[in-house]
Amino acid sequence: MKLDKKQVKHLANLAKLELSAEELEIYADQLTDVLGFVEKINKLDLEKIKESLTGVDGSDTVPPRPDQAEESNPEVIQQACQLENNYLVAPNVFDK
Amino acid sequence: MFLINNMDIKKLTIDKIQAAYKAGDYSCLELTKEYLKAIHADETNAFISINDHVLDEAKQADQLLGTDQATPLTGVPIAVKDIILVKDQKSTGGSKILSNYIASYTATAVQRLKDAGMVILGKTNCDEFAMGSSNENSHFGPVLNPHDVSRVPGGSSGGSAAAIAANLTPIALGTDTGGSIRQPASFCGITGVKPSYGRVSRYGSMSMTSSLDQIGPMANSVKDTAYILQVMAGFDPKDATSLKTKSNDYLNILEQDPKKLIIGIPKEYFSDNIQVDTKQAIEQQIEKLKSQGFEIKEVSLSYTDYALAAYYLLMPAEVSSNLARYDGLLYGLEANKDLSLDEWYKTVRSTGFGAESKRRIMLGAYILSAGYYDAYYKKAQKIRTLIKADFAKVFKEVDILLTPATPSTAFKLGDKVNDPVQMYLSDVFTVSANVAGICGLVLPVARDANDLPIGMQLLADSQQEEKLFSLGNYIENLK
Repeated sequence: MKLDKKQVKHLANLAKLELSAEELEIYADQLTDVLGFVEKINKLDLEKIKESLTGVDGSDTVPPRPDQAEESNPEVIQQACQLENNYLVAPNVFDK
Repeated sequence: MFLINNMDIKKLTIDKIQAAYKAGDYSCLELTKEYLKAIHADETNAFISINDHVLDEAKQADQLLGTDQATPLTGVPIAVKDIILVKDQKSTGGSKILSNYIASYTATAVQRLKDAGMVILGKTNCDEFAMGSSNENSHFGPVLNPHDVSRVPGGSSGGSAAAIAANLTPIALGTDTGGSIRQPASFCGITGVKPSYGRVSRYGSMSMTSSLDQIGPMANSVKDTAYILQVMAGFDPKDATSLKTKSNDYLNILEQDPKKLIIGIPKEYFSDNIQVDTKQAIEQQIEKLKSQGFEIKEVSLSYTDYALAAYYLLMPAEVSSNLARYDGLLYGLEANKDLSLDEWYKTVRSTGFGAESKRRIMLGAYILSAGYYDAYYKKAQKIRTLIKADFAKVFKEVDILLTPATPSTAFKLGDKVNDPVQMYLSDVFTVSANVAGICGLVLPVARDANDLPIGMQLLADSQQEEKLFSLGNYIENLK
């Protein structure tokens, strides 16, 4: 699968990254190489195989904790870009 | 150069340190100061930051030593990979995007070691968010291999491995997602363990690939990795993937005869693509064990060839989701406040992430895209099933697998930096263990023609770490 610069630009946009013309070219080649490498998985017949989400089977882990509301910890947001009364102030979502 | 006031800090182990404390050879404060001196003189770039409170911690440890509150780890210095959080200390993950981030809590694994009395020297350099095999992807510059500074220390826990090899710390923590503890341990000639998935809590370790990441110990001896894992391991309510089952007594097992362990040699790990010196060194080890009376069987792991391909689908997919949190709003790099939200995100992420992170994020975005999810991600999950079954079958026949740790010894800085696939191939022997969730240990066994360390890998089934320690300790003492 050969990725072209236009596709890389689209991926960059999805990933919220801005790439220079030079970067687009480099990534197009490198991502094509990596996709070429992983292509070997298509040699296997996987039709009847079940998927595994992790290495462990889940029988040795606890169920999800109950969903309980907790007081937020202001300490973890003290490094936010902008705070007002312990609320995070985000940049404008819509253009002014 | 390390012999000051009769204090030799070369290749120190926990037992040696405790014996020195007991004999009154030096205090924890004196030892800590000696390490700090060595860190300041370091030319390998192994550390990103020093713990400002380390001397206070050392003084506290000195007060505990000799009392009934002391543990075997009290007063033992440790360095922590900068991807693992330690409260009130800078935790950058090797990234520009977090270059000024101060952690607001401590990882469970670190907290348990601190509670046991360990003294944190500082945070070690690593590839950005643990993504790399050479430590060349760090915003804070590459780490140099202490055995040959023109070569890489391996990655992503390159700073932790180099710090031990350069005698800047006796113990370090790393993280291993595809080989990030074992490959640098091999390149730097030290010992490192990737615990079974879920054995150690991931709480407070910056997530890279949540279904594969594990924190693990790195040290100068197998016994030291056992000491550290014993304390770190165990269920943590803050990590839903941590295992409920209590871990075995790793230290007790070291006293037992490992000869009842049946050793398997997976033939797929001995192809012609391995450096000749490495292959010979591992084969010599196998012969040595045979002559010692071990039962050794050739086995086959037929899907080995597909593990790295599956890894390079699973990992970027999870990376693209996990790294979405770095948007510069709650913490980290900021942009001009007059920008729109979209421009803000793009500015922060484009300037904050390095090349490898961007590559993997985009790859993940591609793999998870509509139409490609079934073609790539789902198939990779199915290959994970096949690889797990492969190991499960083999572990019915043998107790432990013995393989080379890496196809070659440490390569030159810059050699593979522009060729991602070549770089990825240096993890070809380590990555299966992560995909299958099993545990692995790497220890140094020989040197190549350039006098570079050659590492050997032992693999055991999930939650069978004691087998790694038992055989590893035996091999270490056989030399």
